[in-house]
Formats: sequence, C-alpha cells, structure tokens
Amino acid sequence: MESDNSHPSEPVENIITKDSLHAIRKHIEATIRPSWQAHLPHNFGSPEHGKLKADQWRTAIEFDIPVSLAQLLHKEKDTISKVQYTRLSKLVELTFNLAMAIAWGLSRITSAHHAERYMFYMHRYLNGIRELFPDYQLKPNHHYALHIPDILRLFGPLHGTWAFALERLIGRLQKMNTNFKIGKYYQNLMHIARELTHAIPKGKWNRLF
Amino acid sequence: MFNAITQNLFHGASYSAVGSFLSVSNGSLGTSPSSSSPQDLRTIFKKFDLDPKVTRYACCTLPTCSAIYPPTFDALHKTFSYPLRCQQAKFGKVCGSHLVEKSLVMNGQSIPRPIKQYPYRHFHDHVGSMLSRPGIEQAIQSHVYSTTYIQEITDIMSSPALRNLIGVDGRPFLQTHGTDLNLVWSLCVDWYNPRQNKAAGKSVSTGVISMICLSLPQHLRTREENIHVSGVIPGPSEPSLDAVNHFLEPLIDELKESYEDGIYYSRTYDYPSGRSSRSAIVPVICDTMASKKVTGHCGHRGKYFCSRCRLPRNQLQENFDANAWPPGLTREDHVALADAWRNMETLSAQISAVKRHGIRWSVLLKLPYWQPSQWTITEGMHVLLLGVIPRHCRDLLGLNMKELPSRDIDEDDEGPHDASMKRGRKALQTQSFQKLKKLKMRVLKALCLEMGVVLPAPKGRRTKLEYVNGLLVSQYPCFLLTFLFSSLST
Repeated sequence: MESDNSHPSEPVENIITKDSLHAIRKHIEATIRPSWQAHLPHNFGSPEHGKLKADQWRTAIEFDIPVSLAQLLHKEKDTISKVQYTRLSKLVELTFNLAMAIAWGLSRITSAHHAERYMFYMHRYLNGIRELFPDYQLKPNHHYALHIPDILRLFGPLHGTWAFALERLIGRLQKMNTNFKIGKYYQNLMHIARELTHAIPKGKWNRLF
Repeated sequence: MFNAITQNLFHGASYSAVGSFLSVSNGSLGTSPSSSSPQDLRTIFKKFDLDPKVTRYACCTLPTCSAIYPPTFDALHKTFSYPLRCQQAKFGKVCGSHLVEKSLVMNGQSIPRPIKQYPYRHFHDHVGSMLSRPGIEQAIQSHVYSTTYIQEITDIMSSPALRNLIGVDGRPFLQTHGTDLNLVWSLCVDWYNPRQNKAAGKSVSTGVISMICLSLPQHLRTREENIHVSGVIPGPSEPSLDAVNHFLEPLIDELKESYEDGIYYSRTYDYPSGRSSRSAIVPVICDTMASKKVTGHCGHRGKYFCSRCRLPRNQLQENFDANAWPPGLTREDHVALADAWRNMETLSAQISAVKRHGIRWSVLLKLPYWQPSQWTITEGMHVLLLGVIPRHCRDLLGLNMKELPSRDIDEDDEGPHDASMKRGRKALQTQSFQKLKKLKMRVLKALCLEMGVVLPAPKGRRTKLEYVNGLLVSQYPCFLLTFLFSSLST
C-alpha cells in the first residue's frame, strides 16, 4: 500500500490484512478446478512461489480474488467499523470492475459491443483507482490497456495478437542444448530450425514430406 | 542412410544413437571408417538436402553498431570469407572493430571465422517447405475463405485490419485470383535469457526473430514446424536501440520482394506445376520494450510513450477518454520524421530529436504498406495479464505477505501445511536427524507444541537445531548421549 500515507491517523487503509490473505489462500486450496485452468500456488502472495505465469494471473483475477474478496466482505461486515466497511466494499467493487473488463477483453469472440463494454469497465476501474488511491501513479500499462478496444475492433480477439506462442517458443529455445558460449559460437540456428521444422508429433509422420 | 534419417525423424533416435547405428551398418566399427559412407547424421541431412537454408552473417561485436556482413564464397580455398573489420560508418566515423578471428585450420591454412555470428534462415525457404507439406495449402484456402467479415470477429483473419489490407495491384490483398496464394504474417521479436533465468546466473540476453503465419487456422498456426524462426540475435547484450534494424534487414528485404513481385515456388504439394505467393507483415507482436525498439518509437519513459497515440506522458494520470487523445501519426508524417532522424549528422542531434518527437527510423518502414502506429500492438498478455492485474494485486490490494499489516499481535498464526506436518511426524518417528533438520521452522514449532516439548529459555533467536534436538531428546532419551558426545568432541 504505497499510496496511502496521506491520512496516517485513519486506520481505514489497513483493511486487507494478513488474515485476509490467509483467507484467500484457504479458498485457493479448497477450490476444485477444471484441469485446463492454471492453478495458483498455495502460498499465494509470498515471494517463495516466484513469478506467476500469465495464465495464473488470469485465473486469479477471473475467479479467486473477486470471489474471496466478496466472501471476506460478507464475513467482516460486523467486525469492522463502518468507514472501513465502505472502503472495503469499494475495493471489492474496484476488483470486480477489473475482472469484468478482463472478461470482456479476453473473450474468444469480439465485436464493437465487446470493445464498448471493455472500455466501460476499464474506465470505471481507472476512475475507481483515482478516487480510492489519489496518490497512486498510474503506469503506462494502464494507458496501453485503454488501447485494447482499438485492437479488439481492428484485429479481433486478443488470442490472435498475443505473445503466448512466442513465449512458448522461447521456452523451447531455452531448453535447447547450447555450448554456453553466448554470442561467440552460438550458431545453432541451423539446429533450431532443423529441430523445429522436423518436429513431428508421433503418429503424424507424414507431415514432413 | 535413408534408414538413419527415418530413425531420427520418425522414431526419435538421437544423433549419437544414429551415429553408432551408422558405424555398425557401415561395418567400420574398430576399423578405419570408409570415406564413401557418411558417419554422421548431419552429413546425411546435407546429402538429402533436408537442411534449412541458413546464411551465417558476421556480426559486429559492438552492441551500438551490430552491423552484419554476409559471407562471400572464396573459390580458391572453397571456403566462405568475411571482411576483417567492420566498415559501418555512422556520423562520418567508421566503426572498425574486428569481425573475425583466426581459429579454424583447414588444409594447413588458418581460416578466419567470425567472432560473433548471426544466423539467418531464409524466409522463402520456410514458405517453400511449409507449402510442400500436405494439407497446409488446403487449410489456408479454407481458413481464408471461411472467415468473412461479420459483426462478430472470431479470428484475426476476419478482422478489418487484414481484410482492408491492399495488395500491390490496388485490390484487397487477401482476395487472390488464379493460383496465387497470399499469406499474412505477424512479426514477433523478443529477448530472452538462454541460461534459463537462474537466480545466480549471469544475465545474458539473446534475441529471437520469429514470424507466425496468420493465414493458417488457429490449430496449425502455433505449431513449431509452422513458426518461422528467422534469426537468433547473438548476445550477450541486446543491440542498442536502432542497431536491431541490421538484424531485421535481410528478412524485411525478402518480405518486400515477396510483397511487390511475388515469389514463384516451382512445386508445391497441391500444385505440382508450381504457384506464386506473396507475403505481408501486419501486426508486430512484442512486449513493450522490444516493440519500441523494433518499430522505432521512443521508450515508455519518453514524452510520447505510446505508439498508438500522441498523448504526452504528463497527461497519463488523468486523461482516460480515448476520443480526446491526439491520434497516432499517419504513415507519411512518421516516415518524414524517421527520415529526418536518419539523416542527422550527430548523435546528440538524434537524441534531441527523439526527445522532441519520439520517432526513430525502423527498417520496417521499408515495407511500403506497413502502418507504424496502427499495426504496433499493445500486446494483451503483457499489458493485461502481466501488467495491470499484478499491479492491482500487489500495489492496490497489497497482497504481499511481508508488507501486509496484521491485525493480531501474533504473527504466523496459521498452522503449517498438512502435508509438511505429516512429513514432520514421520521424520520424528523414524528418528531421522537429517530429515528433521530439513523441515521449516514453523513446522518444527508446531511439532513441539503437539508433542508438548518444553524447550529451555532461548539465549537469543532460537535456531532450528535447538528445536530438532529438543524434539529428539524428549521423544528418544538415548539421543541425549549422542548429543553430549558430539558437543564434547567439538
């Protein structure tokens, strides 16, 4: 919470505590997911799990965090003060706005309507940040996110233009054996290209010729 | 020989396995290898002409220069030779750094070979090999014609950007006539660490230039054999800013030729008498940093931080209305600024020009149809999934265990994981000192509570060893003796 140092006397900022994160973790552990969905680490929020994958962040915002926060809001209703409760409910609403924007943005089918809905929720989200965290410095990524409707209109669904395929290729290249002489004799493109073009899934051997 | 190839390609035999197979089948195990039959799989690939066509450029070792030089064939020595020094002139000064070193000895003569190499796989070669596989042409044909523009877009092929792309004859690029085949590609460039992001490893970065054929249906598009890996930009550091253009140049030159004249493939799978094909790049898909470099925009800290519009950086905080943003530059304006930048005579003039209008020259501008602002993608995965969402969770919600305030006084009140507790109990049962030592602090704490072990008052912070010793001694008093002995001996 880097932003909220402006009102040190009010305890409203400390709504989300370690308990809340523990609750989220318990929810993550208790959730039974379809096998295609990326699973979140059970120690979500600690540095030990390393960087999360893009797909895991997607799971987090599409399901886990909004659902857990909503439960938290319900549970804490009687234990916290009214000021704190309004702030918490605003935070939950903020999260829901982002989740809705993501849901519209990552749809497999897009149209002008999808772009319009995405923009609507993204605006609500950014205005919400302005209101709740007046000191927070927005990042260029927040601006780029507002260009997503352009992309939806011009290029269609995001899965056509996102970099998952590239990242997978990089994962493949990283695993490839090299001679560890970076840049010097790193000349295995021949090898890479050969491996990639001749990569034949089992049982589909006629793809090559 | 054919057997060896089949083994490698279809049954997944490794190079070394095929090598030993070859030497057995040649009957040369233990005797001197006969010269006629190849001993290595790579030779066989060469003989059957299965190798991809790759040119090895010599690359200047300075990241700021990074000029590349194609090899020239030396008929006398039957080798490829490169210029000795970099001849790239910038601001009236020749770079002049060494390109080659003498390390290879052939026929009693040392042959210079490049210090840094840039391997480039020819684009036409990839398209040719793709079109000679069965099913590819049909898949493209049916995919392109099945997706017409309607209100809802399900795939990038039916999107307005691709449908409105104009070919060199003034007609829509994707409406072909006769046997012509027009392909649309996306260009992807990214840098990665070939040493797998290990924490202790030195950070090096190698780039990869790849192209994805959007004309293919989605399930074939991202298959490894269909992705064109055009080149691997050698490390250990990224080429600086505009130097990346050198590496893209061979690819862009081939693409320009392909778009303007079309390339005739003498034989494809569906057309034994051959057909011609044209290719075009539309979107450039990279993360923010790489995209700025490749498309020639200034970085995201500059005044014009966004490639798609001309919103100045100082309005980032409050201007959310997309209609109020000044629109991105048109191709003509962009080219004018880029050319002006390119013709500047000093480095400082270039730097101040970029500060003023945020445009560098990019080799992509060589493509006559390419739209610098429109076709630079703000990439969905990096912007949303790896940008906005983690920011929301970390900065706004503050979901970070260490920095979160705690409402209760006692920290770490949550019990440890069930699985690790089970492991702990088992380790205690088996009296394994080593296994107990490997457990986490809070598991040991919980175990002590469970077993009712009371430890002596700590001197400072309790160490793991104290817990382990306490546990073992309380459960198995015979351990007291071993600990006493070990403390005496030390």
